Amino acid sequence: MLKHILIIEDDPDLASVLTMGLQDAGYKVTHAADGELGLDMAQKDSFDALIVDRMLPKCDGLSVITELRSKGDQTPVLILSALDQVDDRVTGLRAGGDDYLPKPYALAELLARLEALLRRNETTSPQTKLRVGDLEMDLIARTVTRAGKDIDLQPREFTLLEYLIRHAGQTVTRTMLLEGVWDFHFDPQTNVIDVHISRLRQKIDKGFSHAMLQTVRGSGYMIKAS
Amino acid sequence: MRGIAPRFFQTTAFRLSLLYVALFGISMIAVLGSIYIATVNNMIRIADETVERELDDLLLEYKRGGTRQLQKTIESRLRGDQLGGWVYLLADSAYRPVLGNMPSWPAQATKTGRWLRFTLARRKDQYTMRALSVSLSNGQLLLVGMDIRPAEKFTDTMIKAALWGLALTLLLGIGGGYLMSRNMLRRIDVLNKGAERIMRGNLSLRMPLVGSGDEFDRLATTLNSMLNEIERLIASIRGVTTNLAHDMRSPLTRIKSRLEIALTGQGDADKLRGEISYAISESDQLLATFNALLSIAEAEGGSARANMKHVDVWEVAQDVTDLYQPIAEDRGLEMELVGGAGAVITGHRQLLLQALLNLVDNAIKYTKSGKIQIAVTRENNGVSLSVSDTGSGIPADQRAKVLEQFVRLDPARTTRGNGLGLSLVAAIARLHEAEMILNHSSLPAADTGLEVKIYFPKGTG
Repeated sequence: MLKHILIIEDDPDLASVLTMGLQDAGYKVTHAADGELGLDMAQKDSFDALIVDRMLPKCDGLSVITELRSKGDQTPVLILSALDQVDDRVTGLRAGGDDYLPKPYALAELLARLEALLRRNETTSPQTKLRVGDLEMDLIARTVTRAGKDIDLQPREFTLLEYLIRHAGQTVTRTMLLEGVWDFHFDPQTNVIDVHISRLRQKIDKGFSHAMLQTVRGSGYMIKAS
Repeated sequence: MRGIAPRFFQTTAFRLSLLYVALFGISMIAVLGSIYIATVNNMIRIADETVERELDDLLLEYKRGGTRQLQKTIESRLRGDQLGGWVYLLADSAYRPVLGNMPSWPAQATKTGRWLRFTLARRKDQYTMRALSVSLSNGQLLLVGMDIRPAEKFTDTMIKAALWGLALTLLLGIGGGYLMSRNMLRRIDVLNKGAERIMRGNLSLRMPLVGSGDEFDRLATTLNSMLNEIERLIASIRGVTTNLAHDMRSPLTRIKSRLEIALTGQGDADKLRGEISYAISESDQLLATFNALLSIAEAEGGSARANMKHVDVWEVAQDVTDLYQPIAEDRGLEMELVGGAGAVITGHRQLLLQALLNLVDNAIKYTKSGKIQIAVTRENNGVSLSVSDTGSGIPADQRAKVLEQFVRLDPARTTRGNGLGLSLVAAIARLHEAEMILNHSSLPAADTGLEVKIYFPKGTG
């Protein structure tokens, strides 16, 4: 079954580009052009995720989310906004949004974050061990092994790998890593992440025939079993 | 000066002088009124005493020599009173005149022992008389009175003088108020006209000064310094806009021409894909510039001040060091973090991270070999955060310039970056009321390197 996404966005051009992009990526898309209509549709139908613009006619994005959350609706919400300010992100997340993406965004970034939101809903049970293929991570003992061989990681490398494994099979962008691993909520416009990834790759893939930590061109990285 | 006449009624100066005139007028009326009443009473009292004394004299003569003696005295008084300032009348018990210079007994004087006031036609004139009458022991009636017109004339003159004085006061007050407000309006009009001229676009004009050093001059001076600041800001914004336009034009022109060639040329799919990815990466650069500008605007706007919390600068330094350590190592640079925890300030963590990240990123970019040191120290009551390198440095005379937006000390603009990094750091420092100091690197073995220090004067720890 196709995942069904509701886009609440008033700019018709942005909405149609986004709709096409999501359809190409294999989603079923419904579009609402204002906040009232969006809220109405979100309450009548069941969606897998909502993409909500912050500034909307009739009823703004944050009110839509607050209203849904107050009715107990836990559908994941990705907030889009032209306001790229750290503090706006905080208000957006406090209102009940699950992730926040400032405009202008790259479609690849949006797809990666949307996928992460959809997956987050599937695995919620607390785990002590994470596993991808022959790579195993013990969250209590803080050890990592691949094919039974110990891998020695620095604390930050451990956190980085944990984030990647939790999103195994999904594309993870550089900004997602900066947010999730380093808690840097801005785009530093540098390639710092690449160096960390290549170091981690040295440790987990060197000497194995299959490279698990792969680069997704134009988007970010992905850890995959095969 | 058209339009001043109707407007001057509305000026504060005029209203104040009206109020002052009214208060002064009322107090003047009170003072003059009480003087008037006191004077009039006193004059009547003097007149009464004079009449009483004369009557007593006559009664004394009557007691001494009876009616004859009295009549003789009255006759001699009548002869002496050439000006007619007195009235004497001796009448029988039926009010018929016996002797005196009055034709008949006054109608209202039916009872003796009471003061009366009446007018009397005499010598083609109306005399105002104040008189007292008594009954004699022989049944006759005696009336003595005096002309009180001189006293009344005096009080009339006094009232007139008081009214004139009052009128003059009002006139001077209102006139003075008018002149004062007209003067004030003129000064304000000069300021207004100056402001209008400046508003019409000539920002280099200034408010005229009279040189008196009064409050209008002080106002004009304040407005002028405000205008200086506005002009400086506008000039700097103009500079930024021009630089921005320059920085945007070249990549946009490149994207456009390459896309045009791709559209009309015969390139295969791979070549087209290459052009598209080129266009995307150039657009990313443009967006990055815009994002940097927005971040600066955010930091300069000061809205982030509301979200400031206690932040340990040491932790910020640790996070950034942690992120950059591998990059420094890859480039063969030594990276060192010195200092210790507890360097707490009130700040915005994300913006501080961003500032330090920019400084470290810059240091790495401009340092070919050697060392980069991040130092967190407690200085006086504040906290200082510094990044020193052994890189190419900035000549002392150009250090102020790099804080301006879009300045890269590389005229050909070959290094990557939008020239906004240090401006963002400066804006974040200003937001934290911190000082940003560019200095020669103090690292040993650094002959050229740069040290950028942000000093937060108000530490909390």
